[in-house]
Amino acid sequence: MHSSKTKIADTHRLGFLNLHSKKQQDILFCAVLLLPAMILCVAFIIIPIIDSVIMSFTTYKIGNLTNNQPGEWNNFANYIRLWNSGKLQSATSITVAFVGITVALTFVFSMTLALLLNTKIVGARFLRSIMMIPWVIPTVIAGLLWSWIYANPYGLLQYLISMFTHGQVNNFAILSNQDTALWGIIVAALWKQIPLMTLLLLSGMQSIPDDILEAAKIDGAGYFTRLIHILIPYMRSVIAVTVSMCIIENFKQYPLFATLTNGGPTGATTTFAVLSYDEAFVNYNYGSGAAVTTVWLLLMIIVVFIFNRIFKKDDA
Amino acid sequence: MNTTNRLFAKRKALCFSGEFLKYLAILFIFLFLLFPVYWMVVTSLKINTESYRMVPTLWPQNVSFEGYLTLLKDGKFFVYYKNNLIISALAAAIICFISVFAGYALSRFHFKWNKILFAAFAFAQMMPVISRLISLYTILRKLNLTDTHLGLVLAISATQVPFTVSLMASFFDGIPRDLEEAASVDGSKRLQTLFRIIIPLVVPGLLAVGVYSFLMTWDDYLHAITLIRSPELWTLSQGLKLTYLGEVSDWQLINSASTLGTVPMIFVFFFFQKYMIKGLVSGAVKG
Amino acid sequence: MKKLLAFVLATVLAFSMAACGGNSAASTSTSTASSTSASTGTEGASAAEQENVTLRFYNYALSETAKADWWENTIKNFEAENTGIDIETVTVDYNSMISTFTNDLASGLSVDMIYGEVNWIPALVEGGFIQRPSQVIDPDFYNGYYDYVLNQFQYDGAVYGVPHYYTNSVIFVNKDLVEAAGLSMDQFPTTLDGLKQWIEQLNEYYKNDDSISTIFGLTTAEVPATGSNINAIYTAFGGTLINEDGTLADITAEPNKTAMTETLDFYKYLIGNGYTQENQKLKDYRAAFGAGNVCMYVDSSWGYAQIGEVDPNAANFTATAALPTSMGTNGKGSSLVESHCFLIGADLSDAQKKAVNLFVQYCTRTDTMQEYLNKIGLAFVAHEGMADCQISPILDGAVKGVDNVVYQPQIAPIISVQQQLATTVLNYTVNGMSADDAIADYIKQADYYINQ
Repeated sequence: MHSSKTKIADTHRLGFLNLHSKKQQDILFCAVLLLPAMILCVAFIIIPIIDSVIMSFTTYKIGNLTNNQPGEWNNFANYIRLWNSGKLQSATSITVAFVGITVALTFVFSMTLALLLNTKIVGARFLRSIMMIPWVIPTVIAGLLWSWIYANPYGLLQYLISMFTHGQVNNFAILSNQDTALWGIIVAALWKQIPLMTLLLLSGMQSIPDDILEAAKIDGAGYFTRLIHILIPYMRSVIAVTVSMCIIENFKQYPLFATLTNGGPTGATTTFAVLSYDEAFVNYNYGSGAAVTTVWLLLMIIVVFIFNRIFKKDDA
Repeated sequence: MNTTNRLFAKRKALCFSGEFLKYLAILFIFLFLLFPVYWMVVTSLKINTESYRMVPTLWPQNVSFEGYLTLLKDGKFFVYYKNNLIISALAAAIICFISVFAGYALSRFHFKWNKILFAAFAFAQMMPVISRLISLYTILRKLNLTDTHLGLVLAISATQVPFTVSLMASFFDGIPRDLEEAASVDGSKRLQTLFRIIIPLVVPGLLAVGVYSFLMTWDDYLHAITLIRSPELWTLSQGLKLTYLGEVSDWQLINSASTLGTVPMIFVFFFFQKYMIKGLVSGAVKG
Repeated sequence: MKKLLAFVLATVLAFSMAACGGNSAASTSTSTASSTSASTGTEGASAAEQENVTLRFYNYALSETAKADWWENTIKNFEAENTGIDIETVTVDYNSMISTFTNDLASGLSVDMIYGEVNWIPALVEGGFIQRPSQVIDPDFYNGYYDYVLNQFQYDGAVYGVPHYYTNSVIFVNKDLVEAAGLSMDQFPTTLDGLKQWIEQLNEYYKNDDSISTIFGLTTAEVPATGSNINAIYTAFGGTLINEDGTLADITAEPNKTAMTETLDFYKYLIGNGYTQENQKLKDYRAAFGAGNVCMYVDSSWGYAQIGEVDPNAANFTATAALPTSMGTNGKGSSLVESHCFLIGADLSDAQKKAVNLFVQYCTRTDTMQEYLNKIGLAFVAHEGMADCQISPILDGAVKGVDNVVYQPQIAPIISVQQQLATTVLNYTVNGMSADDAIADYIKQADYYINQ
């Protein structure tokens, strides 16, 4: 396919590279290869983030946006106002609760399902395929689907609850009660996320050499001993990656909140995502919205950092 | 009956009940995962007065395709569909292109700043979309790319690139270095080696990245509602939310649209799942 | 494999480049159109009749099928009647309007006219997008708007919009269900106590009937529409939320304190006894009413559009009533006026102003609106020029309350402040807060939104 002519042209074009040492060549080649990715990330992720952090220290309203004026420095007024209203604290605890519970439950259920599917069962391949359906459903549609199940008084859930309690609990509206609303969203998030994590864990499991497990069986190790002392240590890197992916995913979750509760009732599901959206796009206080996202980001970095630290420490 | 025999029987019973429990657990989890999907499809076939009944019916009394017919008739739905297809396909192509090169560079060259780059990519991966919306919008406006598919494609590609680059890097890690070391003497041969020897070896990984980014960008909602304005350019999630969800509670229509929006994704997944699962797993798990 | 992949990528690229290119071409053509229209503007009004004028019209209603069809026809007819005026429509919704307008203005597309809701006004004024209609609309015609409807468009001391039509608070009643329980629409209660008697009688009659979900529905979900609905009930109890000078009314002073306490108690009475569900949206009640599962609920008149969507024959069982004229200690059952409105772009040429003027007048004419007010969005006329327009018989009951209305000026965080009322109601009714605590929390949160 490549004629010698093009080869010469190539050499000619890249000829200047030959003037430099191998190391410099490497750097240049590497930089060229990395350039598109860098440009994209810098232009659309890094710069906007820096921009938003700066914005969070300023008064930035509709006028600034329409006239393209930079915001005015306001001595942390956005942060102070958010803190004094208690919104920041409540968003922090709700976000942490949501992420913590969702990640823990996703892991437990996915691990269980992966262990089950890893045994000799009928139709394992088929099950593994159809299991992925919730994962490919777009999140907005998933939100709609669950809001229909949760609907009051025509939803499926309230009917099932009323049936199982023999009419003791009627009109159970999971999203209408401030104590249960977050659970409603957690269930929807579990439904959407269990498949992928199961799949990844299952594959991690299948990469464990059979003879190790067999050897343990012969040693007479019980199921749970094998699970804790062989399987889980072997899968450590898989678990670390999938769980940290799951943490990030849930920290960022917005569409489910937007379609299911929009932060209510009485603020019980107002996470950072909902709060920042409301501040910026409902109250048009962009500076305040940016302040929320800055705190949000910091918290996320801290959590992921701690998580990775713990896993690294165990390694040693 | 001696003791061993009895023990054996006991064990067998235990084993049997264990099997039973196992299937029961699988049944439960799969019911949880799949029944909502069934419910969506069934509701799309019920007329509204049947949906609004205090005692839900498991199967529609009169199967009605009215929801689907409405969607077919007004045609808007397919415009959203086509738009989303273009956007996701283009984004997947761009993501593949970019992450092949960047992944190769990160896997093969170990400089001091590689670690920083990986950290930067990991950091970029964590960014919540909402925090970027306003400045993203301002930047795209300066480039004259708001309300265009190209602008949206670039923006959503950027969100996936950090992950897919790391994924590709781990694929390249799995390819022995000596393959190219012999060949790579000077710069001219490098690109050639990359294209002729290395990239063919990572095609499965590339496919995995492509399908993954296709599915992930298909899921985008926030970027679209911020960056796209003209209804003829709306994406599926955006169109669903803005057209069929306003103050309307036509659950048959909503569920019909949801079903139509879901089915092709399921086919795409089933068709490519072999590559995707293998690729994603070996990449993500090793990485 | 590689070749195939390359081919696929190339095709996709080419395809989508073509798609993107097509779009940018379209947008340049529109921008040239608007620039020519701007230049014709300087030649004076008489020239405008021959030269083309383009109005870019942002309309939220285009996302609702029934309304979109009506607007499409109306615009077509208007353009036929007024040759030379070209109306370009764009769909816009509340959450994306600011970015839409900012973007369009920056890329040379003008924002000439907006059809939206009253509470959009503060943001649009702050952004400098709209101007006062008194500067554009013919004074004679402008004076024909009913004052009590027009005054709700006040923001910062000036009126920023003109109504298309208006509604008071309407009780939708399923007359079949009510009559089956032995009650007669002719004797619909005019006092709160009378209304409570009805509610209890209906509840007694339907308590074992699983198909009745709601006896008297009031919305309490924390969404913007609910906020104004609760504000309306509070107004009916004699309370004021926003003073006429655009400041937050003191809710701890009389008569507001009594009105608020009585409002909260009424919600507690309804939710605590299961006459209404908590946290329902208006659209939930509309759908349930259409399905025949609701005896009564409170809504804007145009809520009927969604009722009719669930059951096209809903007119057979739907009746309306006004709020009781005696509610609590001081309440007169006054409704808070609500409207959909025309907002006028800030930067118009003279020719465009003339065209906007013509269009608004065209849309506020009996022959244009007759069908709309009867079939698409039931409502009352807001202009004396339409006084002989026939109103849907469904609204016969509600019409008794059309004169008993009050208005409230707009404040910047109006949506969040009103929405906070829903939180207050939920805090008191289901979260077990005392009335004083719930009100104190409301004051704190409202202050938060005001002081930004």
